[in-house]
Order: sequence, then structure tokens, then C-alpha cells
Amino acid sequence: MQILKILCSVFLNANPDVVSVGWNALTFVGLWGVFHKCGVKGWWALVPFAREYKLGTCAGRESEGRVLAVVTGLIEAASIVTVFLNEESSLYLFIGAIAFMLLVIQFIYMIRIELGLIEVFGQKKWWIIPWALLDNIVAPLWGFHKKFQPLWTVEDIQSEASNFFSGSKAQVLDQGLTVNLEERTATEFFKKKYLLRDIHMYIQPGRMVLLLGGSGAGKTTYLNAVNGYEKAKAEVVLNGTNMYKHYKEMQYDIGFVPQLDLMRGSDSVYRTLIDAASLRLPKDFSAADRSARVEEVMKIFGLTPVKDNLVSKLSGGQRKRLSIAMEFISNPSLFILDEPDSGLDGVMARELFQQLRQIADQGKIIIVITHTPDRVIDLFDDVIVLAKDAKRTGRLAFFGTIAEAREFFGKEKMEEIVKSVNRQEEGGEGRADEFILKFAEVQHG
Amino acid sequence: MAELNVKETRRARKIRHRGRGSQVPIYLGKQLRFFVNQSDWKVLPMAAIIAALVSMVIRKDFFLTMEGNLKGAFALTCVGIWNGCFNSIQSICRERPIIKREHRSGMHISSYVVAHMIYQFALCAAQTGLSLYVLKMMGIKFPETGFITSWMIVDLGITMLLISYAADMMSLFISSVSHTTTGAMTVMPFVLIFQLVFSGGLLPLPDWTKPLSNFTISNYGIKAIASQSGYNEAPMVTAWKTLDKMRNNELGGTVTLGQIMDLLDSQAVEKRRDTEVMKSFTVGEIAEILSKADETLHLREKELTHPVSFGQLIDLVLTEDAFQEVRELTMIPATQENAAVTVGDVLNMVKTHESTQTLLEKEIGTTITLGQVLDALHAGELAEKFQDQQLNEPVTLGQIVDFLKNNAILQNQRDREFTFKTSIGDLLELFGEENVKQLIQEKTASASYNADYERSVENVAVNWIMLFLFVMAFAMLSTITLEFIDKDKR
Repeated sequence: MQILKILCSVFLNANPDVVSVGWNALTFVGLWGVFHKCGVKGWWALVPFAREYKLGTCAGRESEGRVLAVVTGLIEAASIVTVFLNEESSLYLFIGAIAFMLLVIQFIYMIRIELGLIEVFGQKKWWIIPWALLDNIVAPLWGFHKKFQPLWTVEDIQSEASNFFSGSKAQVLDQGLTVNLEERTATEFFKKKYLLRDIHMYIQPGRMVLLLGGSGAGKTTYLNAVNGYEKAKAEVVLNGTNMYKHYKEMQYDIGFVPQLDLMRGSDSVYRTLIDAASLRLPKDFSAADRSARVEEVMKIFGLTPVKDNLVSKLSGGQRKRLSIAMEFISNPSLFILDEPDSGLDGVMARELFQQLRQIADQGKIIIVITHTPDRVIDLFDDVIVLAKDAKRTGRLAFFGTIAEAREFFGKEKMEEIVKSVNRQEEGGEGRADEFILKFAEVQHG
Repeated sequence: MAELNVKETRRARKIRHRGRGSQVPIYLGKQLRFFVNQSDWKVLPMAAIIAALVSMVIRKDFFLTMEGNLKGAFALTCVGIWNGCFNSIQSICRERPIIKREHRSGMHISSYVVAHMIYQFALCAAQTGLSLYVLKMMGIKFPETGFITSWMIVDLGITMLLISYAADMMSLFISSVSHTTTGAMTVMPFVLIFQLVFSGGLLPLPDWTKPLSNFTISNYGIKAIASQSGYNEAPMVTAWKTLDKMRNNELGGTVTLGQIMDLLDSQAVEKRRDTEVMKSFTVGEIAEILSKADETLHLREKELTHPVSFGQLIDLVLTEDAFQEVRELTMIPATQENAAVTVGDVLNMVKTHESTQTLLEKEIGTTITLGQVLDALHAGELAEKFQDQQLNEPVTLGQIVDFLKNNAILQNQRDREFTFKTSIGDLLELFGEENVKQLIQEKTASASYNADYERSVENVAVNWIMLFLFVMAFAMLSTITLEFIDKDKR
């Protein structure tokens, strides 16, 4: 682009600085129009650095926009610093080299954002070439020509569900799990973002609970908030003990089985379990007790025949069982499993869930995320449905028994329930707000 | 959040789990199993190969010359950094999700890092031992006597271990910051280049970047090894080697007298116009020099006059050509009966006559030595009288230059050409090869003196302490970084 500016100045026989200012002015005017069409205030196009961020927002590439804004800021800072330096000095050259590197990064991120913009405006990919080379012409064209319209905008959508909260808290009993989560937030680029809001429930001991929700609905965030690993503005009470206040003690009473098989391939099955036992079991367990517990768990999960095998040599199903066994070794009251059946065929998945059912029947609470719930739905007692509201915040769309869920959503299959709360652009029915509001009203009474 | 109306939560169970200390063996065991069952053992043969490659470059002059010592220090530091970096660069990031899971299950980050520190120390020690063995095997001659310990190889081993361990901990930190192995391996080259470029050893740095050297492990590593190897005491041979390689380079050409004369107008000559080429002497100074200087002592015994016998005088007159006319002088003119008698006849008669033999042996005069003459001059009134008498005026370079420039004969022959042809080898021979070699080596070594590389216990100890501080700092940073592992984005 710089080369084109120089060529223009040569062709027009004009001062390169004047050409550059004129070029940029055209681009900014064009972006004003683009922003306006995307639902962003047009004058942001005139604010340095914020302009880049807002362009990223328009293009549906907010994170790239943030990087671009920062990189642009650093380039400007470098150019200011170099004004005060001797052109022959090493520091000048060093900063010049850094600035060059930043320019390359700026170019790459600009291309990414422009590709996003092309996607938002539903145009052909080849538009990236004119965008990259002649943004001063393309930006006004897209900004003010009626032919170019975005498929969706970034307007701050207001909906009833986003602002309605049940306000009712779940009961706290000596047995079972109570979750009263007001909000779970994250700060990104100085902006507070709500990940989860207004989730209240009480789960009885011995229940096996299915956690449903579309992609990005906050299922894993919710589970991390429940087990106290990532604290939210909430009160979580397990069997009468506040988990947030006594996390250090309670962490051994919760088994969290992650989606991936996070174990060391260089350890044997026995070694993996004995080390897990050393970490999770109380200090007063003798070596013999630990070993006996490991043998017992291996027997429960059918791992005894492969006890001396390296983890790297196990099959997918054996690894899953070992991963669960690691958590089960401390005999936790609350068992949380994130997609334990991923990569398993139907038969193996059912066997696994049957084992979980048996654990639940011992009075444990089991919460499971799975994307193929219908093949094992008969093994579950309750279902939690999380959904994104209009503000992209994870909300509780339902909590109750399987039968109640079918009635509430009017759907027979769990996968249909997920589809009903998913956004339309994700292939769903886009009814999340409807069910969030409906369930909040039910809870509110 | 409004406080919920909750009954008093049950008092948390006081169950004690394994503490930090007792978790260390668990993770140490995991590291060892990783070493055996996975690929960590490969770093040992790799260290030996690297040492072999480096030794090919440094074996000729390490511990022998200044350049060899610096080159060796740089190369061994590179070996240490390379080994250390590759030991641990992936060790944390490759199992980051596992650590996160285990942290959630009660693992203490500090125990995990301490286990890594112990394991990596053992790994670095093994690599250092292997590297030193290979270096020795490849022909590097380590001095027998050590500087800090009793053996130089042990001294050097400690330094290399510290370099390697510090680099190892640095990589452990990078590994703890990186979320993926790709990320860690992307950062790695930049860190290595920074370490090598800003080591402040072989590569000269601009002044403003020199403080950056203080933040590199390589800087302290090079300083420690250079100190131990006696950098400042060794000769510098590069300049002499370069000159030696130019031995067959021919110098020659044709110059005119005018060109040579023009050189006399150069600024170099002009600056030295007042330089006295020959000083003035007084009579006293000359006498003093002659009487006391060592060079003239043997001359004092030299005899200036000898006693002479009459016989020798007669022989002199009879045999020397200069006395031919004297010999032929007639003393008694010839008569009819007798021929004329010449001086020669008379002297022959005196020489051969029996009665004159005693006279012929009689000597006249005495033996006078140079010392006697000088003593007489020095002690005598004569010497005292002329002691301050100046024998000559001092001669300056300017006077000689003026003389040459104003010399009409030389000026008239400005166009006269001189052709000369020689080689560097001839010049070295002319000035004395050993003299030139010694001079160049001494002067260049003196110019390359570096106080940081001075062979002293303090110097080595300070660098060792700095390397150890790097180890502790990076280990601490790794621990702090990993304590935030819960904040990882999923």
C-alpha cells in the first residue's frame, strides 16, 4: 500500500505526505459508512486505534481487532520515538527493525479482519485484493453503495430474557449439591464480559445429571465454577460444606474427568493410579492401603489385566476408564465428567455410562457433558440445559428430570432440545431466549 | 451477592493430604520414567555429539592462546546453553493440561518444579560429564592443576554445569509460560540468538547494548571460563599468524627520489621535527662514558705504547720500504780500494757484530694502556678544565629534513628512479623473526587485556554466583507462572 501511495505521488506529481493524508482520509470516510452499516457509530472511524478495534468488531473478529489496535499503537509509538533519535544510531535501527516486524503483523491482522468483513458482507473472497491494495477506494464503495450490505450487525441487541433474572435461590441441605450462581465474568481488553448468569439448582445425592448446551453455552465454565476451580460470584455447597470457602479440603471430594485423556504415556496403569492415590488420598493412608485401593479401583474399571501396560499402549476405552479411575480413587461425592464418551463407539460408551450409573447408585452425584445423550438417556435422572441469551451470556434454560425436560421443550430427544436453543446461524431454532425466560419465570414462581 | 440464608456450613473435614515435600518424589519418579520410557535419554548422546563437534574447532589452541581461550570459552558456553535449553524446553508445555488436571487434584506447583529442578540437575551433570570426557578424548589438553579445585577439569566442569543448569531453568521458565510445544519452540531461537549475540564475548557490541549482556547467562559463562583458562596470561597469536601467512607476499616497485623527498613533508615528519636524533656531548660525558661504561671496560687494558729494543729499530730501518732512502745514504765515500759504506751497511754491521748484541737487546720507552691515559685525563687538570666543553650541537630530525630538502644535488635528481623488490619474509628475516613475533604477540595481548577475564578466585566465584542466581530466579519464575495455570483459557 505504501508503494502504491508513492506511485500515486509520482504519478500526480504531488508531495507524498499530501497523498498519504488524502489516501487515509478517503479510507476513514469509507470506514465511517462501513461502521454505520454494521451498527457501530461512524465517528469511531476517526479515532485512532479504536478504529481498528471497531473494524474487527464489524468483521466479527473482535480478538483480531484488539491485536490490530495494539500493534497499530506500537507502530505509532515507534515512529514517535525514532523522531528523537539519530538516524545512524543502533537504537534507531533496532526500533526500525521492530517497527518493520510490527508492520508485517499489522498487515496479516488487517488481512484477517478484511476477510471477516468480506464474510459479513457476503462478498466473494477475491475482494481481499482490492481491500489490501486500494482500501481508499474499496472502503467508500462498501460504505456508501447500496449493493454492499452486511448479513448481520453488531448492534447491542436487547431482549427480555437478557434482563430478566429469576432471583430465587436454591435450597441448601446437608446432603446433595446446591449451586446458586449469580454471575461468572471475564475481563477482556478492559471490558467486562458475562460468561454465566443466574443459575440456581439443587441436586440430590445419587442423581446422574446430564448437562446439555450448544457450543459456547458455557458448559465447561459452569462445571469449573461448580467444582470451585474457577470461582464465580456464587455459593456452591456440597453436602453442607461451602466449597468456595473450603476449597482446599473439598477439592479431594470432587472428581473432575476432563474431556481429553490427560495422563502420562510413559507411566504404567498401576503407576498412574498409585501416583493418583498418593495425591488424592489422605496422608494417613498407608502404602498398603493405597495399593489395596488401587487394586480395588482397577477391578471396578476392568483395568487389572493391563495394570503393567504403559498408558501410551492402551486403547481409547481403556484410557477413558483409567482417566475416570484416577478420579474415582478418592471416592468423591461429586463426580464431573466432560464428554467421557468422545471417541468411543456406542457399545463401549454404554458400558462406561452403566459404570457411572452404578457409581451414582452408591449415593454420588454425577454430572456428565455428552454430545450423544440419546443413546444413554435412560441412565440419567436429571438434565441441565444451558443456552446463550441474546447477549451471548450462558443462562439456565432448564433443570429438572428427563421427563419434565421433554415436556418443557416439547421435544422427545435431547439432541432436539439442544437444537432448539442453538442460534439460527449455528443451524438451531434460535429459541434460547424463549426458554430462558420461561424457565426463569417458572423458578420465580 | 446477597448472602444466602444458609445454615452454618459444616466445618470442613480436617483431612491432611501429602505436603509439598512428600510430593516431590512422586514427580521425580515420573521424570525418571519419562527418561527411560520416552525420549529424554536422547539428550545424552546429543550432548556427546555436540561436544565432539565443538572440540574439533577449539582443541588446537584452547588453554594455549588468548584467542583460543576466548573461542573455547564461547564454544563451551554455547554447548552448555544448547544442552540446557533443549533439556527442558518442552518438559512443561508438553504436559500442561496434565499439570492443570493434577493441580486441580491437589498437586503443589512448587513440588512439581522442585522435582524438575532435581531431575534437570542430574541430567545437566550427566551431560557435562559426558561433554568433558569427549573433549578430553578429542585431544583438548586441560591443565593439570585447577584454579578453584585441585583439577582444572573439575573447575571447568562446575562452570559448564552451572551454565547448562541456568539455561535449563531458563528454558523451563519458557516452557512454563508457553501453552504449546510449538509456542515454546518458536520462542527458543530468539532466546538462543539473544544469549549468543549479547554474550559480550566474541561479538563486539555497541555501547548502548552492553548493559543487555548483564541479563545473559552466556556473559557470565564466558567470563568464568575465560578467567579459568587464563585468558590474560596467554599470548595473542592472530596478528602474528596473519603476518606469517603473508610471508611470501612480495613488496616492491619503483619510486623516484622526488616521491621519497615528498614524504619528508608529511605530517608525521612535521610533528617530529624537534625530536633530537643525536644529542650533544661534553668532554666530561665522553670521558665518563669511556671510563665507566661496561662496553669500554675491556678496552682499558688495551696497550697504547710498547717498549722497543734497538734491534727492532734497526730491523725496522733495514726492512721497511719507507726507509729505503735512509738505508742508501753514504756514510763513507768509496775509494779505489774500498766501496762506499752506506747507512744500511753500518746498521747490518751493528746488527751482526758480536759486541753489539747486548746493545741490540736493550729496550727504550714503556708500556702505556688506554686506561692509564683515561685515568690521567679524568683526574688531571686538563679533563677538569674541558669537562663542560660541548663537543657538538644536538641534531634534530627537522635539521636533517631541512638538509635533505635543501640539498641541491638531491633536488636535481628528483626524477631518479629506485627499484626495489622484497618480501614480508625477507623483512622478517631482516628484523629477526623471533623478535617480531614476540613483539607482536606481546603488544596485541597487552591491547586485548580484559579485567573481566582476570584469573582470580573472586572473578570465578562472582560468575558462578551469578549463574546460580539465574538458576534460582528462573525456577522461581517458573513456579510463579505455573501457579496461574488455572487461568489458562480453555
